Amino acid sequence: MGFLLGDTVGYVTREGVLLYKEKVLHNAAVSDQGFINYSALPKNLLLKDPWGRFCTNVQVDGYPFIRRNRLFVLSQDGCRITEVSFQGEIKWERNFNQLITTVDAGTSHAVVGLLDGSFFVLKDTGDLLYQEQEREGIFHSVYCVSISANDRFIGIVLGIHPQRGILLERTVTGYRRLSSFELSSDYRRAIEGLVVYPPGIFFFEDPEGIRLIDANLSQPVPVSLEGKLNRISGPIADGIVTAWTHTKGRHVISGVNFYGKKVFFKSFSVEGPFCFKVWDSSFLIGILDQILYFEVKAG
Amino acid sequence: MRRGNAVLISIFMLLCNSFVPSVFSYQWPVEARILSVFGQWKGDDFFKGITLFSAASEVKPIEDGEIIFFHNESIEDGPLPYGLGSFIVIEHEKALRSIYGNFALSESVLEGKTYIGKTDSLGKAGLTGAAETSGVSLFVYDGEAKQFVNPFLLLPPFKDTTRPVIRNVQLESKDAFITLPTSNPIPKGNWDITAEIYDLSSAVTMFWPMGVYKVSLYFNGQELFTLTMDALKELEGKVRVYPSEGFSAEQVYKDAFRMRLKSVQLNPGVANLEIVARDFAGNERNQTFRFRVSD
Repeated sequence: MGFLLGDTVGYVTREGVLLYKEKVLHNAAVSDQGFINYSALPKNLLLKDPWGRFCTNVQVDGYPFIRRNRLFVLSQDGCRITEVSFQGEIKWERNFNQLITTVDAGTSHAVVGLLDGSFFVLKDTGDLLYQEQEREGIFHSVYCVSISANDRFIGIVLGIHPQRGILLERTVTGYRRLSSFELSSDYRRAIEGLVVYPPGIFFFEDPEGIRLIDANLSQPVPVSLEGKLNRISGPIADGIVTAWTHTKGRHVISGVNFYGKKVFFKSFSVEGPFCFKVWDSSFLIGILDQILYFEVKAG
Repeated sequence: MRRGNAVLISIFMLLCNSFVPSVFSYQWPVEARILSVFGQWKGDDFFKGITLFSAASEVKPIEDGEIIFFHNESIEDGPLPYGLGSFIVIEHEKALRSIYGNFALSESVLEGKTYIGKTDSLGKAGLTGAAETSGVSLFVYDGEAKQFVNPFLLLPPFKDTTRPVIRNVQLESKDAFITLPTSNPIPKGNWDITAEIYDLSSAVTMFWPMGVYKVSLYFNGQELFTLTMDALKELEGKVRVYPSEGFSAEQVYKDAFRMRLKSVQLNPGVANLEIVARDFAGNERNQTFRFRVSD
């Protein structure tokens, strides 16, 4: 499992063996298959495996990032996205000529949200499968896109005055809206979101903590959490997602079930580097210079 | 901004050639010390904004507006990694958006300020993302026409008296390569004309070339080619420059500052070639070549 802890990128095994670590240059894109540690002005993107061995050179201008173990590169101006294989080959590329605000990927599809309030669902060839443009309200932008692993459900948060949370489901030809709610939030930045299937629930960041919507709810369900949300991840064992929040010097990992109930929490008081990552039915926590591994068990 | 609007703004700027700053409602985010300009070659595409050099001064918005998006750079596995570093997007009237990047956002922005006035600070000029020097990048996007607009069309004029540079003009054919001027006759046929054309930044003391605003090519007195950097719009998957013929970056640039001007058919006799380049402040340079074309 790869981790990014403070300015260190590395890999550990479940048995607690550190495979490799190195210092982050500017930032790093980390996946299970390998990582790219890049400088602020990257000229060469070098892909290395979890043992730090050179794999390939990614010949794309921009900044790499990972979504669901798929490797993408965002151009320097933030307007163009390229998907690259872990062998370094360009799979597809798309220039939107405006800022990409948020990206997520399922197994085959990728969802791209833009600054003008539109979002695009792209096939694994980069071809357009579906698109929508927000027309409600005065200001338009997309703040969150999330797609389920099997590409069936998509969650979106977009717009200002009102801000709206939307859940879409795959149809034969594209996607259709299952539910759409006006939200009380007023975000002006990219926010956290996670779509889980089964059963098809969209968890997303909310000023109170997180909120969830599905096709059957009459109102989004709020889940109150302590501190600022860093990440929603999962699912882990027995229909639970995890939320990592922090307040000054305190990081809290909460388990939230699909009904919006908090089922566990663990808190860590730490001043300094901290990271959290879900790993199947367990999770990994990095504190200062240590990596801790937790298993989640029902009951 | 629609093409018509861009033309109107250009005409307006020409009419205001005396450049009275008060007639411009937009302001510079920091002092106008320019490091890179709209439409120049960057990475593998046109640069969609401008970069301003500034050590650590306050960054101001070009006009009042609503903050619609911001991003604060950090080492994290999750948020999109932007070359713009920390940046903010402000929406003004008529869906005009200004984007400020590669600087350090102010606490008030990070804490949720939503409306910003012309006198408010967005943060401090600095060094985030792909910045090569301390400063700020500015982009202007017209949401109605869905295109990036040359920010110099909106901003007050700036002081610059240096004329652009035209050098190393070359004629290229399938099997020959000639640098102008030349006293030798040039064989007739079809030749591609390229030239190194750039403007020099006065923001820093070192050699710092930047792009130019307009380039024209005249052959025997006839205009063959004109490129003007007013707007960048996506068409058929490529970003193209307008109001020129919608050239893509690969069509305009051979490399960073070598521009592809046009192909010409040279026939026996005497030929006159003139290249005119104008920078974003209006300074102009022209270079003329006279040569013989042989059979």
